[in-house]
Parts: sequence; structure tokens; C-alpha cells
Amino acid sequence: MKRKFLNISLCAMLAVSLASGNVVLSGCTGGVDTSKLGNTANWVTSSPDGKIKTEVVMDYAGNLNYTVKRGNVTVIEKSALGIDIVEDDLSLLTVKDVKTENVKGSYNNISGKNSKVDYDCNQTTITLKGWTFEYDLIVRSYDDGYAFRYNVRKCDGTSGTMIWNEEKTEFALPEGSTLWAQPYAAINTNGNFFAYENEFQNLRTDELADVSISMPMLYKVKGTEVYSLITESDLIGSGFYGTFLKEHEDNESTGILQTVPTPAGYLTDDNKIGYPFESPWRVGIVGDLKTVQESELVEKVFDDAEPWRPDDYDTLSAEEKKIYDYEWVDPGVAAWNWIKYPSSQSNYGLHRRYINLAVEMGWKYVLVDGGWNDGLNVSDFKNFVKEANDKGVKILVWCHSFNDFALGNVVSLRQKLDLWKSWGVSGIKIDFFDGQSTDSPKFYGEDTGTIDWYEKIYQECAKREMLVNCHGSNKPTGERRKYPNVINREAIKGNEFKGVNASDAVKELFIRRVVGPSDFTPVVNPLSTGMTMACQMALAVLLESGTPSMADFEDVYENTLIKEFYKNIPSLCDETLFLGGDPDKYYAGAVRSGDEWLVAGANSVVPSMAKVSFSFLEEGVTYNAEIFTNHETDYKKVERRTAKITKDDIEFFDMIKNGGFVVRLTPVK
Amino acid sequence: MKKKLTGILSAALALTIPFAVACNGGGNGGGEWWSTTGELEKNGDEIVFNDVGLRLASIVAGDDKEALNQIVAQFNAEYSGKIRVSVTTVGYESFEDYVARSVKQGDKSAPDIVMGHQSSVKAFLDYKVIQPIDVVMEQTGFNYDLNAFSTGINQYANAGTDHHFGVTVDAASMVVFYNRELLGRYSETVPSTREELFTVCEDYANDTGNVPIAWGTGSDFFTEFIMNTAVLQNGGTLYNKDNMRVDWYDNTAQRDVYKKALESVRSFVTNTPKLAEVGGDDSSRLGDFRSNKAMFYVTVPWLLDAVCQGYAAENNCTEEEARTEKLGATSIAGWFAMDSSKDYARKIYCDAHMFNLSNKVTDITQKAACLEFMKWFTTNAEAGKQWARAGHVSISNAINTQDAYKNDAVVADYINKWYPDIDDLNTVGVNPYYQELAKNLRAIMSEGLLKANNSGDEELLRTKQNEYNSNIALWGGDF
Repeated sequence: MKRKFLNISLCAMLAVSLASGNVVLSGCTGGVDTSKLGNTANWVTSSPDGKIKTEVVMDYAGNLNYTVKRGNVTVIEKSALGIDIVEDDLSLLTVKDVKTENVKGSYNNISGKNSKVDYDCNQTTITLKGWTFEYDLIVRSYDDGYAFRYNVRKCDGTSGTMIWNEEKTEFALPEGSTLWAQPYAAINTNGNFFAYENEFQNLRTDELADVSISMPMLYKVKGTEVYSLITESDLIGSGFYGTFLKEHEDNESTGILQTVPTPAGYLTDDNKIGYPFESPWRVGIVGDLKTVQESELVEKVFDDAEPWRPDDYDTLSAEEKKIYDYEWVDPGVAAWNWIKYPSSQSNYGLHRRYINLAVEMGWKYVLVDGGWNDGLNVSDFKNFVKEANDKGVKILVWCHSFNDFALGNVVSLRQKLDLWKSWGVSGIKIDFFDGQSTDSPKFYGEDTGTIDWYEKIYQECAKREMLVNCHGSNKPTGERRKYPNVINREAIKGNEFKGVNASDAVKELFIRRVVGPSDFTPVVNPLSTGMTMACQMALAVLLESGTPSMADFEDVYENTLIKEFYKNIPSLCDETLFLGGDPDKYYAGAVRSGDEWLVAGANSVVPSMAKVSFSFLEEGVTYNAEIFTNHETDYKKVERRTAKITKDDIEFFDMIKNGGFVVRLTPVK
Repeated sequence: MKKKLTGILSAALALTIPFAVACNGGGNGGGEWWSTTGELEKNGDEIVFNDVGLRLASIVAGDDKEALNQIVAQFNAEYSGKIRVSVTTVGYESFEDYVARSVKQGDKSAPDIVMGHQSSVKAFLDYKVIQPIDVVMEQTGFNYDLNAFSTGINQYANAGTDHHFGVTVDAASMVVFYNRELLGRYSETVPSTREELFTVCEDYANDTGNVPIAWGTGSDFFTEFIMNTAVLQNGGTLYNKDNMRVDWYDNTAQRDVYKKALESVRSFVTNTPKLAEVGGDDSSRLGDFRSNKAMFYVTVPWLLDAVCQGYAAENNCTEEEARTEKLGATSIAGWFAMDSSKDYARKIYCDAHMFNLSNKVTDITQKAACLEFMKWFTTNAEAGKQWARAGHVSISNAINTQDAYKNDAVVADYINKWYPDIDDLNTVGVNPYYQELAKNLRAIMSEGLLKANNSGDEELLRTKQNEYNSNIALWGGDF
């Protein structure tokens, strides 16, 4: 009864406040100056170009919801916002403050799709107060989408742990939208393991009951050319769990998706969240397909954030401080032979051949995978690393995220990293965060313990100037903005699944590729009939990574037809463009590195023709074009021709089933 | 422990559908349990499909999963705007449970089409989670020849009823690779009988000291496929189709067959010189074949690419050269027949994939869309080729009579050599206790192979026979 009374009385007060706009709101300790507040219950945040409008509404019962429009097209229908914690009733909120500002700037990437990125958005911060807790609902509208997060704190400024009941955030997709989504399904029947390696499925909004959908997820608003990609950002370091999307049982088959914890389960108590708390950003990239495909929104929400520095940074020596400039992070292609020799990773004769391959190809790294330290002779290994380093090649080593570190023990992590660093190792490929292949870890999957564990690994590696490539992991959430040493990530169905199909890979290009680096592990010779050589070559160009792991036999790269091409795969793109396609058909794009361009297309199962306008090329420059297309009958071969191309040219590329093309453009000197 | 396999399904269903078990006693009696809603729209004779979304639950979870995805992607592209199929893969251990539970509970994510093993059809039928296909054909006028399939396997599509409850897609068993160069030294032809095989292998073993046959007896596939094949090739039956019980020991004729079957496999190991080893799995034995020590490699067919790639990697040749020039294929037909003159000597025990129509589907257009997908999958030669390349021989005459299928290099050189006569292929049939049956047959093979001679075989047969019979009696198998 008491609760009921409170609800009514507060709602009544709120109703007055919203209607008149100029009353002092009460219900929490102290009054609130409403002079800063608008007279209405809604706050609209428009993008700088005015096309995206994110509107937050508080209704007369105190419920928060939002909608997103791009022009006249509704991208998000009325959707709930808010959080529910044990310590306070945050459905009983008063508006404490509202601020609007423009957030604008730029940053440079060490690895990524574009060497320099500009960001520009309008931001509304709505501060909402309960009885003992309050939070900022921060809403942003960019020209290419929207983002929002909850910053929760105790009113008295103290810190502690709150019991988290649920996040109420919804994404209500417009009826009839077409989705390309990756529903949760355990990797195998040995446990609830999920590492974002399933296929993206083509679904409709009325087909989502009983399924948990992983992020990122792409959809197209029915009857329009407006697309949106939903995901989360700034997860690592948030103290929160990884989030999925699921229809509430009251909303079955409606397309109203609520944010929920991972269905993979948890070993850490995921309802205990430390405060003050900044939630991960909930991100919706919005626009035509080109806008969505070229968006950097997942990483832009970090603004001009400084890369991570340890708490004792100010006490460090100048030399030690330099570590945190991250200038030592050196993106580069890696030679990697695990796919071909999974049982031979302790064979250093084999790895020496790949060092020679790396030297020949100008690649910077050799990655030795699981089994590299079986029966390890430390002296021999150190000689191996030295030999590699003397030839200008650095060594990365595989490790198990739990088994190699006492099931998630930071002391063990430090000891191992110190040891490997002392041997000359330059970074790690760290695997099985999903919990596979281990017994009794403290945490797994995307529970809060694992999310914290990621961060500890990033930090300890950063301290030692070591790179990180996460495998068996969750999706990228923009972490390389905070940890530039984390330059590669799996969370993709790549060539480790030897039969991965072009139709799956094309969808990955449209969805997974958008949110961060993808360790697809390119090969030259396709591993199944589901892919052609031209398609594999295209994927090597289109799927960006700070340390792309080239996975074929070493002699394959001796082929003079393709050698120069694979020598020029970039690990940092200066520019990345979308040139055309459809998630169910084909993807065409271009990347620039220096003054060279690589243009590529990957095709799904129906033969397609990609029309490529080279208008993006520099004015007045003629380019030598080396063009690789599918062999007419042999899916394991490509044909090469050359041409001169300028920005006025338009080319048409026929792509066979599972086919592709690549064009390497170098300016005529 | 005894209930572990079949018990998974039984226990799950006991929680969710006790009424079904109580009413039907594991049988499939009682009138129609399926229903039909909606109206069919036709354009002439053509059924109009307008963006019909279908969920396919598939048990295919190995290397062949990608081939299935590729085939489904092809279907989705060809039927763009009409029918969309999304595949959910569910592992072998929980597949029956998942299908039964989700359909019975009315989960919206429950499958519309079930792609399981043919052996599951009886259990699905008993629990009424599937519905008859022929009824849908009558309702819709759908044109589809459900009899144009291999007779040995397709006979079970009716699950012992008057209705047609499934479309059998393919078959797969243990298959044999051989090293052309090694075999060529000892024979001009590929051995086609057990006697010829032993002669070649003994000559090779005596000359080189190598073990001529690489096989991993530690895998469930090996023990199940080989045990059951050995029984069939020696004239035995796996169970009594009238009451589902087994008489592996009690029936003296069957007992002799089973002893013969066991001995036929064990003799590869006990023979002097030794022709094969006990233990290991497919991958651990592959090394002997790749390194040109073993003349034959007995494995599962969906490892075709892996075998050729592995051989190529170790022998400095291309995968294509490995497949076309270095390696060859033959079948286990006759390998375990102690009398090769018998007409059953070349039988091969297989598992088969079958499409079933889930009882979740009520809308008539959606039912027709499910049939459209099944028909396309079992009549499209390109789909058949791709599926064959993943190790599954098509048992659809509509596919295996087409030149595009027959002339495919992999089909011609491997698939059709592995399965020389699809009418010799046999499956377990319609036994609701299939998993218990398989468990005990596997145990007979794995335990029998560990024995140096046949002295314990009768006791082994008696024990496993009684274990199976007592378990199915406990679960209501009183036919």
C-alpha cells in the first residue's frame, strides 16, 4: 500500500511539473531548480546535419522512453529506457537537470579503418534523481546514428555495489523490418559456450520470439533504404556484462527487443555492479547502406579519450611514461600456420620457414599457436625469437585465457607475461574467453568477471608493451580506443571454420566488420567449394585487422601472380569506403593505404555484377590497375589483367557464385 | 546410467508432455494430432509464397554443416522474396530432446522443418512432434514423388504407418581411402572381397612391416557403423521389428551371426601379420595414412577434404593431385562377410538424414513452403553435388540419375565408390529405442575388440542383449 501511495503521489507531482514546466520538483532530498528545464516532457537531440532525431519522453507515470527518426523514417519505435536496482526505486524519478552540448573533435588511429576520424554530435544529458541514487541519461545524435548510456551514482557521492535487477532499455524495431542477426546458439553441447562465430540469419520482426540475438545486429526499415546496426560500445572496463537482445515474453513476435544478459550464463554474480557506474554505450548506426558501412560510431563515442594509463602514471619515469604513448604498437601482417599445421606448433623448424616467409613478404610478425610451448626448451625458444627479431620479425604466442593463468589469476598473468616478455615475445593471441577447454574457471563468457579479466589482460600487456589478439572472445566494443595494443579480435566465423561460405562471409562484411577488427585469417587457396580464391583475396582486403594472420602454406605466397598483392595487405587503412552491395548478395569496398588503393568485392551464391565508380581516386592521377578476377572454371584460380584507371572510370566486375575480385591501384609515377 | 541415451528424450518429455506418454504408451495411436489453418493462394497451378520464413533445426554439426549452410543459402537466393530458411544447428546429444521439447511446448522458435537422423523418426512420431507429408500434398495438390528414393532406406519414411512422415535425403557410413601407389604394388585391382583384401594387406604387411589399414576403433562412428555392417554382412538382424527386442544371445542363429561379425572385425587385429590396430580415433590414425605407411584408411566420409588436404600437405602435392592421382576410394562392402557368396555380403549399415515436417506448422502455405524446400533439396543436382562433397550420398533418384550429379568428379571418384549400390544401404529402421540399441551394439564392438579371442563373446552378447531388453521394458517397450 505504501508503495502504491508513493507512486501516485509522485506521479501527480511529476504531472504538474511536466505540464507547467516551472515548478520545483520534489520527492528527493532538496528542491531542483527547473529554470534549466524545458517546458515539455520530451527532449529531442538532433544530429549536426539535422537528419537524425533522438527523442526521449517521460510520460505522466514517470516512464522513460525514446524514439529515433532519420528524416521522416522511424528507425526506433517507442522504446523503454531506464534501469532497475534493488537499492532505489528508479521508476520514481524526478528530473534534476538537463544539459545540451555539442561534442566535436578528431583522433588518429594506430590501427583501424581510417587513420584519422572526425566526430561531431549533439548530446543531451538528462539527470534523473531517485531517492538515494541518480543517473545521467546521456543521449547523442550523430550524423550517422545515435548512442546513449546511463551514468549511475549515489546521491551522496559515495561508492559501493548495487544489486542490478534489470536494464529496461528496448530497441523497438519498426514492424516488417528485415534483420540480419546472429541468434545465440551454444557452440557445442558440452556447455553454454558462445564466441560470436555463428552465421547471421535473415529474419523478420515477427520471427524473434524465444531467441536471443547477439550484437551487432543489422536491420532495414521496411519500404525504405534506411538501415540501422545496433551494438554496444565501451563495454570493457565498464564493470558490466556483455549484452544480448531479446523480446520480453509480453512482447513476443513484436520486434521489441530488450537488453538482457548473455544466455551463455555466468559464473560471476552479474547482478552486483559497482557504482559510480558508466554503462556501456547503446549504439545505433543509422543511414543508407553506405553510411552504415563506413561508420566509425562504435569507436567515435570515446571522443578524444586518452589511451589507458595506470593509476601511478604520474609517479613513473619519463621513459616509463612513454609506454603509454603507445607508439610501440606496430600494426603489421602476421604469418601463421596453425590452420595448416595444427599439431606442429612446437616444431620450430616449421616456424623458421614462416619467419623466412615473413621476411620475404615484408610482414612484421610470426604467430606461434597452441602447442608452441609443449616440451619447450627455453634456450632454444629464446634463440628462435632472437633469430626472428634479428631478421626484423616479431613473435606473437598463443595462450589460453584461463588455463595459462591459474584460471584467471592476475598474479599468474603478470608472471607469465613477464616471462614471455623476457624471452622477447611481442604479444599474445589469447583464446577461449567463452570458457571452452577449461575446468573450473572463476568466470566465463561475458559475465562481469570475464569483462574485468579482459581489461586486466589489456592493461598488463600494455605495461609490457605487448600486443593482444583476442580469440574465442566477445565482439569488439571499441576497446582499441582505450587500449591501442588490442589490435585484433576473432568473434567472427573465419577460416578456422574451414568450410566457411562466401554467403556467410558477405553478411559478416556488412555487420561484424563494421564494429572493429576481424581476425578472419585469410588464406589464398579456398578451403572449400563455398569460397573461391578471388573471394578469399577480397576478404583479405575488406576485413580490417591490426595483425591480419595470413594462414596459407608458405609456398603458396611464392606464386608470382599473387605475391605482390599479399605483400600489400594493409594493417592500418588510411581510408575505407563502401562501394556497393547487399547483405544477401555481395559486398564491394575500397581501402587506401598511403597513395595505393585496394578495391575488392566478395559475392554470395547468386552471380552478381558489381559496378565500381572510381570517382574516389585522386584528381589528375592515373593509376596502374592490377585486376584479379575469378578463373572461368576453376574456383581455386584467379586471372590477372592490368589496366590504367582514373577517377573518371567506371568498371563492371562479374562475380560468379562465391566469387570475388580485387584491384590494386598504384599511381603512375 | 542405463537411461542415458534414450532417457534424455524420455525424461525431457516426461516433464513437458506426460499426457502424451500416458495416452499413447509410446505408440502413435489416436486420431489426427495435426491441424491446418489458412488458405492457399495459387497462381494457376503454382502455390504463391510471399516471404515465408521457415526454421530448420539440423543435427548436422560437423564439417558438413558448412555445406548445408551453403545449400540453404543457395535455396534462399533462388527463392528470394518467396521462402527463407534459417538453420539452427543442434548437437547430436540433445537434438531429439530439443525438437520434442520445443515443438511440444509450442515455442515460437521451434523448428518448422526437422533435419535429423532417420533413426529418430519413430520417437518423433510417438510423441507427435511431426506430421504426415502426404496429407499436406493432398491438401495442396503438391507434386512430389515420395517413392523415388533408394528402397533400402526409404522404406522407413512411413515410420510403420500408412502415412509418409519424412523425406530421406542421404546416407553415410564408414568409407575407405586407399593409397594408389602402395596398392598398385600389390594388386592391379581394388579388392572387392574380404579374401582379396586380406591377401593384399598380408603381402604388404609382410613386405614392409607396416600395418596396412589405419582405422580409429575408439570413435562411436566406427563401433556403430562397423559393428552393424558386420552383422548385416553375415546375415544378421539388429532387432526384432515386431517387438523391438533383441535376441543376440538367446537365438542361437543370431548368436552365431553376432559372434561371426565380431570375429570378422577382430581378425584384422589378431591376424598374423597384423592388418589393423585397436584404439585411436580418426585423426590419430590419419597420420599413418598421410605418411604413406598405411595402404587403407577407414574413416567417415565427411573428412574427404581434410584427408586430401592433409595428404597433400605431407606429400608435397596439391590437394587436387592428392584427390585425383594419389588417393582412391572404395567401400566396406564385403569387408566383414565371412562368406562373400551370400547376397547380404555387400550390405552397408548407414545413417541417413531425413526431413520431417514439424507439428508446429499449421498454416497451409507454410506447410507447402516446407515441402517446397524438401523437394528442392532432394531434386536439385547442384545441391546433391554439394551435399555429396560433404560426404553424403544422395538416395534421391531425381538427383542421382542426373548427369550433373553423376559426372561430378567427387561423386564419380569417391561417393559412388564408397556406396557402389545404394540399394545395399540399410539403416536401423523405425526403432524408438534406437539410441539404446546403438549404445549396446557399440559396446559389443568396443569391448569385443579388446579381447584376444572369442572366448568371452557369448557372455558379452548375453549381457548387452539383456541390458537392452530390460531397459526398453522399463521404458514401456511392451509391444
